[in-house]
Amino acid sequence: MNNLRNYFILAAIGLAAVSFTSCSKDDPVPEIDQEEYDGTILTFTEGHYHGEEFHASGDTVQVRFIKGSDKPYPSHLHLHAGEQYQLDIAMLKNGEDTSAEFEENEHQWFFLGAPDGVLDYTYSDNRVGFKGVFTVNKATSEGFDLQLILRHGLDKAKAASLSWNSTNYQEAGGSDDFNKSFELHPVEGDHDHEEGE
Amino acid sequence: MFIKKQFMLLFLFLGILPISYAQNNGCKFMINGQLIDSDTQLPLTGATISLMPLKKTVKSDEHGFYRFSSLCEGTYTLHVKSLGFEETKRTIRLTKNELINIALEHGDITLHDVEVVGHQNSLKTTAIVHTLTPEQLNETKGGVLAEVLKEIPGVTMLQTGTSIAKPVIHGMHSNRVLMLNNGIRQEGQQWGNEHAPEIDPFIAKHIRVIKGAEAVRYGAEAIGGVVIIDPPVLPISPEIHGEVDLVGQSNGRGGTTSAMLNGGLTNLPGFSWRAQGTWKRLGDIKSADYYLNNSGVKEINFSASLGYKTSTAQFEGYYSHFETELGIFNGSHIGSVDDLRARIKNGRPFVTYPFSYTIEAPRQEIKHDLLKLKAHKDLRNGAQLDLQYGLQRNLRKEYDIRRGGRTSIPSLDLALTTQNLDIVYDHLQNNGLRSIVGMNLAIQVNNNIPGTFTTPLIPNYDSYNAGVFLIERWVKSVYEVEVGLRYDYKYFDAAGYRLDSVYYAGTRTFHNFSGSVGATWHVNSLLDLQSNLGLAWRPPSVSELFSYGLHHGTAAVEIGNDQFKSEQGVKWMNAAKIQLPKFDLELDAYAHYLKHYIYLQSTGEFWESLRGAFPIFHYDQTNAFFWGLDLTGRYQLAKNLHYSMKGSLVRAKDTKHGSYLPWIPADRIENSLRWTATYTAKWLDQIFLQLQHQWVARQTRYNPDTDFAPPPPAYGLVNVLGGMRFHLHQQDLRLQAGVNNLLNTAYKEYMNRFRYYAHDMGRNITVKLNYTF
Repeated sequence: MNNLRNYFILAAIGLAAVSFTSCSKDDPVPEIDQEEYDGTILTFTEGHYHGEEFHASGDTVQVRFIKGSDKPYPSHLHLHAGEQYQLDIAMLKNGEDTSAEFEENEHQWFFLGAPDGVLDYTYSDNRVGFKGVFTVNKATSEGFDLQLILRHGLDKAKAASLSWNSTNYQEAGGSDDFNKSFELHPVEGDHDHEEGE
Repeated sequence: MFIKKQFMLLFLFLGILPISYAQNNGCKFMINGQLIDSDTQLPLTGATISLMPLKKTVKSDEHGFYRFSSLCEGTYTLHVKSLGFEETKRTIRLTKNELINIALEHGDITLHDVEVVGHQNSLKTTAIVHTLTPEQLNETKGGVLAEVLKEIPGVTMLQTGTSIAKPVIHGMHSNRVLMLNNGIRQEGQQWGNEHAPEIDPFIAKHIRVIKGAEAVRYGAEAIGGVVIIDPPVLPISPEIHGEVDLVGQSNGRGGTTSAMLNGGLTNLPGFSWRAQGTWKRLGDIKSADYYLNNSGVKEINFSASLGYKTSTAQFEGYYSHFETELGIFNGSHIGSVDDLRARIKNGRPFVTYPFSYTIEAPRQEIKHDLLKLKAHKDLRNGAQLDLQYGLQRNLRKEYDIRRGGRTSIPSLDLALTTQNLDIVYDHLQNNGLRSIVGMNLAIQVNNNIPGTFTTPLIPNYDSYNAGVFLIERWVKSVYEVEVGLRYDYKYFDAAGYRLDSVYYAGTRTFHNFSGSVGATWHVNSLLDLQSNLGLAWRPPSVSELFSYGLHHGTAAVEIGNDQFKSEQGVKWMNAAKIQLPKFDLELDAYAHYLKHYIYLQSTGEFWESLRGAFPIFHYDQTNAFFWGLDLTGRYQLAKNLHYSMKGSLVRAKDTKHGSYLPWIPADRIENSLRWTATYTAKWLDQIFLQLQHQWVARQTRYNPDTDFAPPPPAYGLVNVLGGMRFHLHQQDLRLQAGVNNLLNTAYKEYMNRFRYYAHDMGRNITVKLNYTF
């Protein structure tokens, strides 16, 4: 019976020895955070419809949101009343556009904060909003904060998600992927074209 | 032989014993010894030894030892009785301390009806220990460990949804509660509120909770209490016995199956084994009126044990594997603090889904392996030596909802390896003094497995712990006194990257003395009083030292402080137990002061990200004072009707700032009526029916600065449970059926972290079947 006892002890020592060899931590490896992005660029291009299709052929203005800065650049943008603009949104990671990662079935942009009747928006993609057309119906005396919200995991069948400016968008479920604002000022057509102040 | 045969006499009539023992001078002798089974030569536990004519009765301990002290010179007779053994008597003329070992012969008739149990470490302590009764264990089967522990007054749960629960003892949890799983300190990623203990409740046959600060015996982190979980002891008889459990529940549309087999090896006497396994599957849990999408669970656990016994030594090898996959309620996934506020305002999920068994992201996958090797030796001088080695590996993967196919890549991937070595020497000396000397060593390695594409919340680290302790204990017939002292050393070496990709590394060293003083006073047969003062400590956890990142579950940025000091706690725990023929009462009262208490404090600042703004929380140290009461009462209303009551309250304050602390359980009380049938048949007994009402008050003591939403309102739940037992030859079949939340009340519990998003569990019908053979 002493033999058995010895086996037990031997086994214990053996196991301890094997596992004690790996008793030091590994060097940490930096991770590149894939869920975060370094910047978002909004590109407004003037244009007009040819039938169903929108031709973005005119002037281009951009608004950039950069990670780490709480202000957009420029912080203020003028668009012209009576004009139509195609808005393209790019989500940048290491200088590359990752917008394709945002699966169309579970993502959608909402644009809130415009006074009634000032803006119209049409999704040009499958109601996602990475590409769409803004119509500036009229000028306003002052600018307003246009809030841009990208939702993921929402239920796109819900009524709350059907409209581009649905203020109750949260009722369609999902959560924020992007939630920022910039000041938009629709001005009369003959107004000086200003970018940023 | 130590037995002085020349003094042996047989007295037929106890009444005619000489009364020479009544001398006052020199009542300082002792009789002690060990009882063994003459057949197997194994120690005999729980045998009754009566000392006549004093009518003193003791039971042999788990190693067969017994002892009578403070005896006067005189003639005595020892009567030894144990079920299945011949009654044995020894008479002795006592003029000095005597050691009397007795070998008991098996009785003729009941040879195999004897339940012979092996080695089970009983707790020799003046600490206030609460043990779950076999009924409580049976009635809570199928629940997670914390739900089982909740049966003990003063123990509540900290939940993350319906599938993740951690035990809370007197307002303390996580790294402030130590869990001993089969004698080994459970080491998982305890720092996280959403990290439940990786223990299969089906293996637990003995569950005990120490509510005091028992850091001397168990080491750091026992600052708030200790949970001790032990499997059944290995059998001695070679026959194979076992148990099968089936638990079904309507809510979640699933259940649990568990089976256990144990026996000996006929060809190898002294050897015994046990194998056990549990399988659990649940789908989405339903609150009172909607399903909590993605709240399912998959769990597979198994364990095996092999033991070898001689009359003076025991060896045991144990291995267990715990594996679970948990869905985390979808509605809790938030992208920003705006999301969180919108959901709190709505009070329930915006979108609900039909029932499903599918588990998808966010989810957790956890594997926990434990290997334990133990040797126990009963030494010639009555002392015991225990040597134990434990190896644990905890793998935790947490998956979040991610883009571009990365949902299948864990966003948290941790491997924690812990090795423990414990040596304890326990010596009962002739003068009634018991000395326990011990040493604990531990080595821990934590690694983040690269490739998560997410900056880890906690760094890689090595941690080395060493502790030595001494406990002295005097046991007299009406009182017991205990004094303990411990020294701990901890070395910590961490390295990692912060959220902003900055490398950090650092070492910390912690030293600490802990102490305890305790006493038990058996005032009379009706009243026991206990008091225990424990000085305990806890080094800051890795998350408290090094967190620097976004905690997705709470939509907050949490920042640690690597200069934190250890928490120091003094807990004064008192208990009174009154036992009258129709009435039992147990009252626990405690006061607990913690210096350098670590908690999360809002800074009022926001961290700007493209997702939106997140509030920044800093870990902070303050001083805290806790006090509270736990009350259990039982009154026999009629011959077969019992009323019982259980209540607890905790008060906690930050004494530095005069504010309330977060996550402190609200006052609660539970009232039950239990009817037990007097009817018993040869094949049927233990018929009972129980009606229970649980009431939890609204937590009014909270600090709005450390929380996003005020506590939910008070709630009351009604539960019913009934059961019976069938006998079939040597086999038992237990049947139980019950309904929890009978009225399908929609409620929220303050201690559930998902109260921001959804309600708690609605009505749940359970059916439990237990077959023992």
